[in-house]
Amino acid sequence: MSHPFELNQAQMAHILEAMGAGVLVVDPDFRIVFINHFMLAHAGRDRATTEGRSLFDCFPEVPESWFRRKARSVFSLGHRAFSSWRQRPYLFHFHPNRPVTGHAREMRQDATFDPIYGDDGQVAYLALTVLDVTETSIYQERADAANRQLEEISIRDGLTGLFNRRHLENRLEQEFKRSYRMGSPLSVLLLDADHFKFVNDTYGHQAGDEVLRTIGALLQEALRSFDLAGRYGGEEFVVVLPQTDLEGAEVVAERIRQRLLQEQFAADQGRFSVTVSVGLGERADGVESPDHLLKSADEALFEAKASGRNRIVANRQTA
Amino acid sequence: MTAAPELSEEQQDALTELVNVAMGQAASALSQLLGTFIKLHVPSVRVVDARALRNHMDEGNVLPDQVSGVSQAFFDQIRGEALALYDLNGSDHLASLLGEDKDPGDLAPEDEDELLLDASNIVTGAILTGLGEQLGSHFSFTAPSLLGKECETSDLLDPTSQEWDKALLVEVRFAAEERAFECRILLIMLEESIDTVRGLVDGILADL
Repeated sequence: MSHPFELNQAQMAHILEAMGAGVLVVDPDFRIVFINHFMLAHAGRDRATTEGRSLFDCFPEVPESWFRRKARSVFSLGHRAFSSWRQRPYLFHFHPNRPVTGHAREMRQDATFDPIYGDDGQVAYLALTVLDVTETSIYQERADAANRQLEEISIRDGLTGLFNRRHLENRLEQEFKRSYRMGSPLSVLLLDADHFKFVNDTYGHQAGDEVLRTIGALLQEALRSFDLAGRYGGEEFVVVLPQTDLEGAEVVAERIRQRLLQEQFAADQGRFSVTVSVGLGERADGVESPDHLLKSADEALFEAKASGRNRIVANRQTA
Repeated sequence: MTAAPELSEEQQDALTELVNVAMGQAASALSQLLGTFIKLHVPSVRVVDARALRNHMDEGNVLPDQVSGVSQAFFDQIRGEALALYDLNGSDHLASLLGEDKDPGDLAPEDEDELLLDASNIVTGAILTGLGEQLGSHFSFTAPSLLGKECETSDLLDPTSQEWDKALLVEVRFAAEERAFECRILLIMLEESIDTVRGLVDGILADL
Protein backbone atom coordinates (compact mmCIF):
# COMPACT_ATOMS: atom_id res chain seq x y z
CA MET A 1 0.00 0.00 0.00
CA SER A 2 2.84 2.34 0.87
CA HIS A 3 3.91 4.10 -2.29
CA PRO A 4 7.64 4.87 -2.62
CA PHE A 5 6.78 8.50 -3.38
CA GLU A 6 4.27 8.91 -0.57
CA LEU A 7 4.97 11.40 2.19
CA ASN A 8 4.75 10.12 5.72
CA GLN A 9 2.56 11.78 8.30
CA ALA A 10 5.41 13.68 9.93
CA GLN A 11 6.43 15.11 6.58
CA MET A 12 2.87 16.13 5.78
CA ALA A 13 2.59 17.75 9.19
CA HIS A 14 5.81 19.65 8.56
CA ILE A 15 4.45 21.03 5.29
CA LEU A 16 1.31 22.23 7.08
CA GLU A 17 3.46 23.91 9.71
CA ALA A 18 5.85 25.51 7.26
CA MET A 19 3.38 26.79 4.71
CA GLY A 20 3.02 30.54 4.30
CA ALA A 21 -0.68 30.50 5.00
CA GLY A 22 -2.78 30.03 8.09
CA VAL A 23 -4.47 26.70 8.74
CA LEU A 24 -6.89 26.24 11.58
CA VAL A 25 -9.21 23.28 12.14
CA VAL A 26 -12.27 23.35 14.39
CA ASP A 27 -14.83 20.72 15.39
CA PRO A 28 -18.60 21.32 15.18
CA ASP A 29 -18.44 22.99 18.61
CA PHE A 30 -15.83 25.39 17.28
CA ARG A 31 -13.06 24.01 19.46
CA ILE A 32 -9.65 24.34 17.86
CA VAL A 33 -8.29 20.91 17.07
CA PHE A 34 -5.34 22.08 15.01
CA ILE A 35 -3.58 25.37 14.42
CA ASN A 36 -0.46 25.81 12.33
CA HIS A 37 2.69 27.82 12.92
CA PHE A 38 1.64 30.70 10.63
CA MET A 39 -1.43 31.34 12.78
CA LEU A 40 0.38 30.97 16.09
CA ALA A 41 3.28 33.20 15.07
CA HIS A 42 1.04 35.98 13.83
CA ALA A 43 -1.26 35.74 16.82
CA GLY A 44 1.66 35.60 19.27
CA ARG A 45 0.15 32.48 20.81
CA ASP A 46 1.30 28.94 21.45
CA ARG A 47 -0.33 25.59 20.98
CA ALA A 48 -0.98 25.06 24.68
CA THR A 49 -3.22 28.11 24.97
CA THR A 50 -5.14 27.51 21.75
CA GLU A 51 -5.70 23.86 20.93
CA GLY A 52 -8.75 22.41 22.63
CA ARG A 53 -10.15 25.86 23.35
CA SER A 54 -13.02 27.67 21.67
CA LEU A 55 -12.12 29.60 18.55
CA PHE A 56 -14.18 32.54 19.75
CA ASP A 57 -12.42 32.65 23.13
CA CYS A 58 -8.98 32.47 21.56
CA PHE A 59 -9.75 34.95 18.79
CA PRO A 60 -12.46 37.31 20.03
CA GLU A 61 -12.06 39.44 16.90
CA VAL A 62 -13.67 36.67 14.81
CA PRO A 63 -17.36 37.65 14.54
CA GLU A 64 -19.17 34.69 16.04
CA SER A 65 -22.60 34.84 14.41
CA TRP A 66 -21.00 35.47 11.03
CA PHE A 67 -18.62 32.54 11.46
CA ARG A 68 -21.43 30.24 12.58
CA ARG A 69 -23.43 31.15 9.50
CA LYS A 70 -20.49 30.34 7.24
CA ALA A 71 -19.88 27.12 9.14
CA ARG A 72 -23.48 26.01 8.81
CA SER A 73 -23.21 25.38 5.08
CA VAL A 74 -19.89 23.61 5.62
CA PHE A 75 -21.17 21.24 8.30
CA SER A 76 -24.70 20.67 7.02
CA LEU A 77 -24.13 20.67 3.26
CA GLY A 78 -20.49 19.70 3.06
CA HIS A 79 -19.92 22.87 1.10
CA ARG A 80 -16.84 24.95 0.81
CA ALA A 81 -17.38 28.58 1.86
CA PHE A 82 -15.28 31.67 1.22
CA SER A 83 -14.49 35.00 2.72
CA SER A 84 -12.87 37.82 0.76
CA TRP A 85 -10.95 40.88 1.95
CA ARG A 86 -13.22 42.95 -0.26
CA GLN A 87 -16.18 42.40 2.01
CA ARG A 88 -14.31 41.62 5.23
CA PRO A 89 -10.77 42.97 5.25
CA TYR A 90 -9.59 40.57 7.93
CA LEU A 91 -10.77 37.74 10.17
CA PHE A 92 -7.84 37.61 12.53
CA HIS A 93 -6.27 40.67 14.00
CA PHE A 94 -2.75 40.15 12.63
CA HIS A 95 -0.07 42.70 11.95
CA PRO A 96 0.85 43.16 8.31
CA ASN A 97 4.21 41.91 7.13
CA ARG A 98 5.68 45.30 6.32
CA PRO A 99 5.37 47.35 9.50
CA VAL A 100 7.79 49.98 8.19
CA THR A 101 7.16 50.35 4.47
CA GLY A 102 3.65 48.94 4.17
CA HIS A 103 0.41 50.86 3.96
CA ALA A 104 -2.06 48.63 5.77
CA ARG A 105 -2.71 48.55 9.49
CA GLU A 106 -4.05 45.02 9.40
CA MET A 107 -3.08 41.97 7.45
CA ARG A 108 -5.78 41.65 4.79
CA GLN A 109 -7.05 38.09 4.51
CA ASP A 110 -8.89 35.78 2.17
CA ALA A 111 -10.20 32.67 3.84
CA THR A 112 -11.59 29.32 2.71
CA PHE A 113 -13.81 27.12 4.87
CA ASP A 114 -13.45 23.46 3.89
CA PRO A 115 -15.39 20.45 5.13
CA ILE A 116 -13.22 17.62 6.48
CA TYR A 117 -15.01 14.28 6.54
CA GLY A 118 -14.76 11.70 9.29
CA ASP A 119 -14.73 7.93 8.75
CA ASP A 120 -18.51 7.85 9.08
CA GLY A 121 -18.92 10.04 6.00
CA GLN A 122 -20.16 13.00 8.02
CA VAL A 123 -18.41 16.35 8.15
CA ALA A 124 -16.28 16.08 11.30
CA TYR A 125 -14.22 19.25 11.07
CA LEU A 126 -14.00 22.57 9.39
CA ALA A 127 -10.60 23.54 8.03
CA LEU A 128 -10.01 27.25 7.70
CA THR A 129 -7.25 28.38 5.35
CA VAL A 130 -6.17 31.99 5.75
CA LEU A 131 -4.19 33.77 3.03
CA ASP A 132 -2.30 37.02 3.49
CA VAL A 133 -3.53 39.20 0.61
CA THR A 134 -2.36 42.54 1.98
CA GLU A 135 -0.16 43.44 -0.98
CA THR A 136 -2.71 42.43 -3.60
CA SER A 137 -5.52 44.24 -1.84
CA ILE A 138 -3.56 47.48 -1.61
CA TYR A 139 -2.66 47.44 -5.31
CA GLN A 140 -6.25 46.58 -6.11
CA GLU A 141 -7.57 49.45 -4.02
CA ARG A 142 -5.20 51.87 -5.72
CA ALA A 143 -6.23 50.60 -9.14
CA ASP A 144 -9.92 50.86 -8.16
CA ALA A 145 -9.45 54.44 -7.00
CA ALA A 146 -7.60 55.38 -10.20
CA ASN A 147 -10.30 53.72 -12.31
CA ARG A 148 -13.06 55.51 -10.48
CA GLN A 149 -11.27 58.79 -11.06
CA LEU A 150 -10.79 58.05 -14.76
CA GLU A 151 -14.39 57.01 -15.12
CA GLU A 152 -15.53 60.19 -13.43
CA ILE A 153 -13.37 62.27 -15.75
CA SER A 154 -14.61 60.42 -18.82
CA ILE A 155 -18.28 61.17 -18.10
CA ARG A 156 -17.94 64.83 -17.07
CA ASP A 157 -17.81 68.07 -18.98
CA GLY A 158 -14.62 69.82 -17.86
CA LEU A 159 -16.02 73.34 -17.72
CA THR A 160 -19.34 72.86 -15.91
CA GLY A 161 -18.83 69.57 -14.08
CA LEU A 162 -22.11 68.33 -15.58
CA PHE A 163 -22.27 65.08 -17.55
CA ASN A 164 -20.86 65.23 -21.05
CA ARG A 165 -22.94 64.57 -24.12
CA ARG A 166 -21.93 60.96 -24.62
CA HIS A 167 -22.67 59.96 -21.05
CA LEU A 168 -25.93 61.86 -21.02
CA GLU A 169 -27.10 60.09 -24.16
CA ASN A 170 -26.27 56.72 -22.62
CA ARG A 171 -28.16 57.54 -19.47
CA LEU A 172 -31.11 58.93 -21.43
CA GLU A 173 -31.33 55.64 -23.27
CA GLN A 174 -31.51 53.72 -19.98
CA GLU A 175 -34.08 56.09 -18.56
CA PHE A 176 -36.10 55.86 -21.73
CA LYS A 177 -36.23 52.07 -21.54
CA ARG A 178 -37.10 52.16 -17.87
CA SER A 179 -39.85 54.70 -18.42
CA TYR A 180 -41.22 52.67 -21.31
CA ARG A 181 -41.25 49.48 -19.26
CA MET A 182 -42.76 51.00 -16.16
CA GLY A 183 -45.14 53.25 -18.07
CA SER A 184 -43.84 56.17 -16.04
CA PRO A 185 -43.48 59.71 -17.44
CA LEU A 186 -40.14 61.01 -18.67
CA SER A 187 -39.37 64.53 -19.80
CA VAL A 188 -36.39 66.16 -21.42
CA LEU A 189 -35.44 69.79 -21.08
CA LEU A 190 -33.19 71.47 -23.65
CA LEU A 191 -31.82 74.79 -22.47
CA ASP A 192 -29.91 77.29 -24.55
CA ALA A 193 -28.32 80.56 -23.39
CA ASP A 194 -29.75 83.44 -25.43
CA HIS A 195 -27.41 85.59 -27.56
CA PHE A 196 -24.41 83.71 -26.25
CA LYS A 197 -22.25 84.73 -29.20
CA PHE A 198 -22.96 88.35 -28.31
CA VAL A 199 -21.85 87.71 -24.69
CA ASN A 200 -18.62 86.14 -25.88
CA ASP A 201 -17.93 88.86 -28.44
CA THR A 202 -18.77 91.75 -26.08
CA TYR A 203 -17.53 90.61 -22.67
CA GLY A 204 -14.91 88.06 -23.68
CA HIS A 205 -14.68 84.27 -23.54
CA GLN A 206 -13.87 84.21 -19.84
CA ALA A 207 -17.18 85.91 -19.12
CA GLY A 208 -18.86 83.45 -21.47
CA ASP A 209 -17.31 80.54 -19.59
CA GLU A 210 -18.51 82.04 -16.32
CA VAL A 211 -22.06 82.12 -17.71
CA LEU A 212 -21.84 78.43 -18.64
CA ARG A 213 -20.44 77.50 -15.23
CA THR A 214 -23.20 79.44 -13.51
CA ILE A 215 -25.91 77.76 -15.56
CA GLY A 216 -24.33 74.41 -14.70
CA ALA A 217 -24.39 75.24 -10.99
CA LEU A 218 -27.99 76.49 -11.15
CA LEU A 219 -29.09 73.28 -12.86
CA GLN A 220 -27.49 71.12 -10.22
CA GLU A 221 -29.06 73.22 -7.50
CA ALA A 222 -32.53 73.04 -9.02
CA LEU A 223 -32.62 69.32 -9.70
CA ARG A 224 -33.49 66.23 -7.71
CA SER A 225 -30.85 63.60 -7.05
CA PHE A 226 -32.15 61.30 -9.80
CA ASP A 227 -32.43 63.98 -12.49
CA LEU A 228 -29.59 64.03 -15.00
CA ALA A 229 -28.03 67.26 -16.26
CA GLY A 230 -25.47 67.51 -19.00
CA ARG A 231 -23.79 70.02 -21.26
CA TYR A 232 -24.86 69.11 -24.74
CA GLY A 233 -22.37 71.26 -26.57
CA GLY A 234 -21.57 74.98 -26.85
CA GLU A 235 -24.15 76.89 -24.80
CA GLU A 236 -26.73 74.13 -24.91
CA PHE A 237 -27.72 72.02 -21.89
CA VAL A 238 -29.92 68.93 -21.50
CA VAL A 239 -31.76 67.80 -18.42
CA VAL A 240 -33.41 64.38 -18.22
CA LEU A 241 -36.31 64.35 -15.75
CA PRO A 242 -37.49 60.84 -14.83
CA GLN A 243 -40.96 60.42 -13.29
CA THR A 244 -41.86 63.87 -14.58
CA ASP A 245 -44.53 64.93 -17.08
CA LEU A 246 -44.55 68.13 -19.14
CA GLU A 247 -46.30 70.13 -16.40
CA GLY A 248 -43.67 69.12 -13.86
CA ALA A 249 -40.90 69.87 -16.33
CA GLU A 250 -42.35 73.34 -16.93
CA VAL A 251 -42.16 74.07 -13.20
CA VAL A 252 -38.50 73.02 -13.11
CA ALA A 253 -37.68 74.99 -16.26
CA GLU A 254 -39.41 78.11 -14.96
CA ARG A 255 -37.54 77.87 -11.66
CA ILE A 256 -34.23 77.72 -13.54
CA ARG A 257 -35.17 80.56 -15.87
CA GLN A 258 -36.21 82.81 -12.96
CA ARG A 259 -33.15 81.94 -10.94
CA LEU A 260 -30.81 82.88 -13.80
CA LEU A 261 -32.52 86.25 -14.20
CA GLN A 262 -31.36 87.17 -10.70
CA GLU A 263 -27.77 86.44 -11.61
CA GLN A 264 -25.52 89.40 -12.48
CA PHE A 265 -22.29 88.82 -14.37
CA ALA A 266 -19.38 91.22 -14.22
CA ALA A 267 -16.70 91.79 -16.84
CA ASP A 268 -14.25 94.59 -17.60
CA GLN A 269 -16.74 95.91 -20.13
CA GLY A 270 -19.53 96.12 -17.58
CA ARG A 271 -22.24 94.13 -15.86
CA PHE A 272 -24.75 92.03 -17.74
CA SER A 273 -27.35 89.36 -17.25
CA VAL A 274 -28.30 86.37 -19.37
CA THR A 275 -31.60 84.79 -20.33
CA VAL A 276 -32.31 81.28 -21.54
CA SER A 277 -34.74 79.64 -23.91
CA VAL A 278 -36.03 76.21 -23.00
CA GLY A 279 -37.69 73.49 -25.04
CA LEU A 280 -39.50 70.59 -23.35
CA GLY A 281 -40.41 67.18 -24.69
CA GLU A 282 -42.08 64.17 -23.11
CA ARG A 283 -42.04 60.48 -23.87
CA ALA A 284 -45.45 59.61 -25.25
CA ASP A 285 -47.14 57.57 -27.96
CA GLY A 286 -45.41 58.55 -31.15
CA VAL A 287 -42.17 59.41 -29.34
CA GLU A 288 -40.61 55.99 -29.63
CA SER A 289 -36.91 56.58 -29.12
CA PRO A 290 -34.51 58.71 -27.09
CA ASP A 291 -33.51 60.47 -30.31
CA HIS A 292 -37.12 61.24 -31.04
CA LEU A 293 -37.59 62.61 -27.54
CA LEU A 294 -34.58 64.91 -27.93
CA LYS A 295 -35.85 66.00 -31.30
CA SER A 296 -39.23 66.87 -29.85
CA ALA A 297 -37.57 69.04 -27.17
CA ASP A 298 -35.36 70.57 -29.85
CA GLU A 299 -38.40 71.58 -31.92
CA ALA A 300 -39.84 73.27 -28.85
CA LEU A 301 -36.54 75.04 -28.23
CA PHE A 302 -36.54 76.30 -31.80
CA GLU A 303 -40.00 77.68 -31.26
CA ALA A 304 -38.93 79.35 -27.99
CA LYS A 305 -36.07 81.02 -29.85
CA ALA A 306 -38.25 82.01 -32.82
CA SER A 307 -40.98 83.49 -30.66
CA GLY A 308 -38.67 85.92 -28.86
CA ARG A 309 -36.34 83.96 -26.49
CA ASN A 310 -36.29 84.06 -22.65
CA ARG A 311 -39.20 81.66 -22.54
CA ILE A 312 -40.23 78.05 -22.16
CA VAL A 313 -42.06 76.06 -24.82
CA ALA A 314 -43.41 72.57 -24.24
CA ASN A 315 -43.90 70.28 -27.22
CA ARG A 316 -47.45 68.99 -26.79
CA GLN A 317 -47.96 67.79 -30.34
CA THR A 318 -47.42 64.20 -29.42
CA ALA A 319 -48.67 64.26 -25.84
CA MET B 1 -33.85 29.66 -31.61
CA THR B 2 -31.53 27.34 -33.42
CA ALA B 3 -29.21 25.36 -31.20
CA ALA B 4 -25.96 24.41 -32.88
CA PRO B 5 -25.87 20.68 -33.50
CA GLU B 6 -23.10 19.92 -31.03
CA LEU B 7 -25.37 17.82 -28.86
CA SER B 8 -27.77 15.29 -30.29
CA GLU B 9 -31.34 15.41 -29.10
CA GLU B 10 -30.74 12.29 -27.07
CA GLN B 11 -27.68 13.77 -25.43
CA GLN B 12 -29.48 16.98 -24.70
CA ASP B 13 -32.43 15.16 -23.12
CA ALA B 14 -30.12 13.03 -21.03
CA LEU B 15 -28.11 16.02 -19.84
CA THR B 16 -31.30 17.93 -18.99
CA GLU B 17 -32.41 14.98 -16.89
CA LEU B 18 -29.04 14.85 -15.09
CA VAL B 19 -29.22 18.57 -14.39
CA ASN B 20 -32.74 18.08 -13.13
CA VAL B 21 -31.62 15.49 -10.60
CA ALA B 22 -28.67 17.66 -9.52
CA MET B 23 -31.01 20.62 -9.10
CA GLY B 24 -33.36 18.59 -6.99
CA GLN B 25 -30.52 17.63 -4.67
CA ALA B 26 -29.28 21.19 -4.55
CA ALA B 27 -32.76 22.49 -3.83
CA SER B 28 -33.40 20.10 -0.98
CA ALA B 29 -30.05 20.93 0.58
CA LEU B 30 -30.87 24.59 0.19
CA SER B 31 -34.33 24.44 1.62
CA GLN B 32 -32.91 22.55 4.59
CA LEU B 33 -30.30 25.24 5.11
CA LEU B 34 -32.59 28.19 4.53
CA GLY B 35 -35.67 26.76 6.15
CA THR B 36 -37.90 27.61 3.24
CA PHE B 37 -39.37 25.68 0.35
CA ILE B 38 -37.40 26.08 -2.86
CA LYS B 39 -39.30 26.09 -6.14
CA LEU B 40 -37.61 24.82 -9.26
CA HIS B 41 -38.18 25.51 -12.91
CA VAL B 42 -37.34 23.03 -15.62
CA PRO B 43 -33.68 23.53 -16.50
CA SER B 44 -32.64 24.38 -20.01
CA VAL B 45 -29.60 22.97 -21.77
CA ARG B 46 -28.29 24.16 -25.10
CA VAL B 47 -25.26 25.21 -27.08
CA VAL B 48 -24.99 28.98 -27.58
CA ASP B 49 -22.58 31.45 -29.10
CA ALA B 50 -21.36 34.57 -27.32
CA ARG B 51 -23.99 36.88 -28.79
CA ALA B 52 -26.83 34.51 -28.03
CA LEU B 53 -25.64 34.29 -24.45
CA ARG B 54 -25.76 38.05 -24.04
CA ASN B 55 -29.25 38.28 -25.50
CA HIS B 56 -30.38 35.41 -23.39
CA MET B 57 -29.09 37.05 -20.22
CA ASP B 58 -31.02 40.18 -21.07
CA GLU B 59 -34.27 38.48 -21.95
CA GLY B 60 -34.60 36.35 -18.86
CA ASN B 61 -34.79 39.22 -16.40
CA VAL B 62 -37.80 41.23 -15.41
CA LEU B 63 -35.65 44.29 -14.92
CA PRO B 64 -32.62 43.78 -17.16
CA ASP B 65 -31.01 47.02 -16.05
CA GLN B 66 -31.07 46.23 -12.35
CA VAL B 67 -29.34 42.90 -12.16
CA SER B 68 -26.71 41.80 -9.69
CA GLY B 69 -24.31 39.11 -10.79
CA VAL B 70 -21.83 36.82 -9.09
CA SER B 71 -19.28 34.72 -10.93
CA GLN B 72 -17.51 31.54 -9.93
CA ALA B 73 -15.09 29.84 -12.25
CA PHE B 74 -15.03 26.06 -12.33
CA PHE B 75 -12.22 23.93 -13.64
CA ASP B 76 -10.90 20.39 -13.66
CA GLN B 77 -12.29 18.09 -16.36
CA ILE B 78 -14.89 20.65 -17.34
CA ARG B 79 -13.95 24.30 -17.54
CA GLY B 80 -16.18 27.32 -17.49
CA GLU B 81 -17.92 29.86 -15.39
CA ALA B 82 -21.06 29.87 -13.30
CA LEU B 83 -23.04 33.10 -13.19
CA ALA B 84 -25.66 33.72 -10.53
CA LEU B 85 -28.04 36.51 -11.52
CA TYR B 86 -30.47 38.22 -9.20
CA ASP B 87 -32.96 40.93 -9.85
CA LEU B 88 -33.36 43.79 -7.41
CA ASN B 89 -35.88 41.92 -5.28
CA GLY B 90 -33.70 38.86 -5.17
CA SER B 91 -30.68 40.57 -3.74
CA ASP B 92 -32.85 42.53 -1.31
CA HIS B 93 -34.35 39.41 0.16
CA LEU B 94 -31.16 37.48 0.60
CA ALA B 95 -30.40 38.77 4.04
CA SER B 96 -33.61 37.49 5.54
CA LEU B 97 -33.27 34.19 3.71
CA LEU B 98 -29.86 33.53 5.16
CA GLY B 99 -31.23 33.91 8.64
CA GLU B 100 -29.81 37.28 9.50
CA ASP B 101 -32.27 39.15 11.66
CA LYS B 102 -31.45 42.47 10.13
CA ASP B 103 -33.77 44.33 7.84
CA PRO B 104 -32.15 44.39 4.37
CA GLY B 105 -32.19 48.19 4.50
CA ASP B 106 -30.01 48.18 7.61
CA LEU B 107 -27.17 46.22 6.06
CA ALA B 108 -23.89 47.88 5.18
CA PRO B 109 -23.07 47.51 1.47
CA GLU B 110 -20.18 45.16 2.24
CA ASP B 111 -22.43 42.91 4.31
CA GLU B 112 -25.03 42.88 1.57
CA ASP B 113 -22.34 41.98 -0.98
CA GLU B 114 -21.11 39.21 1.25
CA LEU B 115 -24.58 37.70 1.61
CA LEU B 116 -24.98 37.81 -2.15
CA LEU B 117 -21.65 36.02 -2.55
CA ASP B 118 -22.50 33.46 0.14
CA ALA B 119 -25.88 32.65 -1.31
CA SER B 120 -24.42 32.29 -4.80
CA ASN B 121 -21.67 30.07 -3.50
CA ILE B 122 -24.19 27.82 -1.78
CA VAL B 123 -26.48 27.52 -4.80
CA THR B 124 -23.73 27.24 -7.39
CA GLY B 125 -21.73 24.83 -5.24
CA ALA B 126 -24.78 22.64 -4.69
CA ILE B 127 -25.53 22.42 -8.40
CA LEU B 128 -21.94 21.84 -9.47
CA THR B 129 -21.42 19.20 -6.82
CA GLY B 130 -24.70 17.50 -7.74
CA LEU B 131 -23.99 17.66 -11.46
CA GLY B 132 -20.47 16.35 -10.86
CA GLU B 133 -21.95 13.36 -9.04
CA GLN B 134 -24.44 12.74 -11.84
CA LEU B 135 -21.83 13.00 -14.57
CA GLY B 136 -19.23 11.04 -12.67
CA SER B 137 -16.94 14.04 -12.92
CA HIS B 138 -15.67 16.55 -10.44
CA PHE B 139 -15.91 20.31 -10.48
CA SER B 140 -13.40 22.40 -8.60
CA PHE B 141 -14.47 25.98 -8.23
CA THR B 142 -13.01 29.29 -7.19
CA ALA B 143 -14.21 31.78 -4.63
CA PRO B 144 -17.20 33.83 -5.84
CA SER B 145 -16.61 37.34 -7.07
CA LEU B 146 -19.08 40.14 -7.55
CA LEU B 147 -19.44 41.14 -11.21
CA GLY B 148 -21.79 44.03 -10.65
CA LYS B 149 -24.69 45.25 -8.59
CA GLU B 150 -27.95 46.65 -9.88
CA CYS B 151 -26.47 47.21 -13.30
CA GLU B 152 -27.33 46.21 -16.87
CA THR B 153 -26.76 42.59 -17.76
CA SER B 154 -24.54 43.73 -20.62
CA ASP B 155 -22.21 45.30 -18.05
CA LEU B 156 -21.62 41.89 -16.51
CA LEU B 157 -19.98 40.52 -19.64
CA ASP B 158 -16.96 42.08 -21.24
CA PRO B 159 -17.58 41.61 -24.97
CA THR B 160 -13.95 42.30 -25.85
CA SER B 161 -12.49 39.50 -23.80
CA GLN B 162 -14.38 36.46 -25.00
CA GLU B 163 -12.02 33.57 -25.47
CA TRP B 164 -14.74 31.33 -26.81
CA ASP B 165 -17.21 31.14 -29.69
CA LYS B 166 -19.53 28.44 -28.51
CA ALA B 167 -20.45 27.24 -25.09
CA LEU B 168 -22.78 24.76 -23.49
CA LEU B 169 -25.27 26.75 -21.46
CA VAL B 170 -27.11 25.12 -18.61
CA GLU B 171 -29.64 27.35 -16.96
CA VAL B 172 -31.52 26.69 -13.77
CA ARG B 173 -33.90 28.88 -11.84
CA PHE B 174 -34.50 28.80 -8.15
CA ALA B 175 -37.18 30.64 -6.27
CA ALA B 176 -37.89 30.70 -2.57
CA GLU B 177 -41.53 30.11 -1.97
CA GLU B 178 -42.38 32.59 0.76
CA ARG B 179 -40.21 35.46 -0.31
CA ALA B 180 -39.99 37.28 -3.57
CA PHE B 181 -36.64 35.81 -4.25
CA GLU B 182 -35.50 34.36 -7.51
CA CYS B 183 -32.11 33.51 -8.80
CA ARG B 184 -30.90 32.27 -12.16
CA ILE B 185 -27.79 30.19 -12.38
CA LEU B 186 -26.08 29.97 -15.74
CA LEU B 187 -23.42 27.30 -16.04
CA ILE B 188 -21.38 28.19 -19.08
CA MET B 189 -19.12 25.33 -20.12
CA LEU B 190 -16.54 26.34 -22.66
CA GLU B 191 -16.30 24.88 -26.12
CA GLU B 192 -13.33 22.69 -25.25
CA SER B 193 -15.39 21.05 -22.51
CA ILE B 194 -18.41 20.22 -24.67
CA ASP B 195 -16.64 17.11 -25.92
CA THR B 196 -15.92 16.00 -22.38
CA VAL B 197 -19.54 16.48 -21.33
CA ARG B 198 -20.75 14.64 -24.42
CA GLY B 199 -18.40 11.76 -23.65
CA LEU B 200 -19.67 11.52 -20.07
CA VAL B 201 -23.30 11.66 -21.19
CA ASP B 202 -22.67 8.98 -23.83
CA GLY B 203 -21.10 6.78 -21.18
CA ILE B 204 -24.20 7.15 -19.01
CA LEU B 205 -26.53 6.50 -21.97
CA ALA B 206 -24.56 3.36 -22.87
CA ASP B 207 -24.94 2.05 -19.32
CA LEU B 208 -28.72 2.35 -19.39
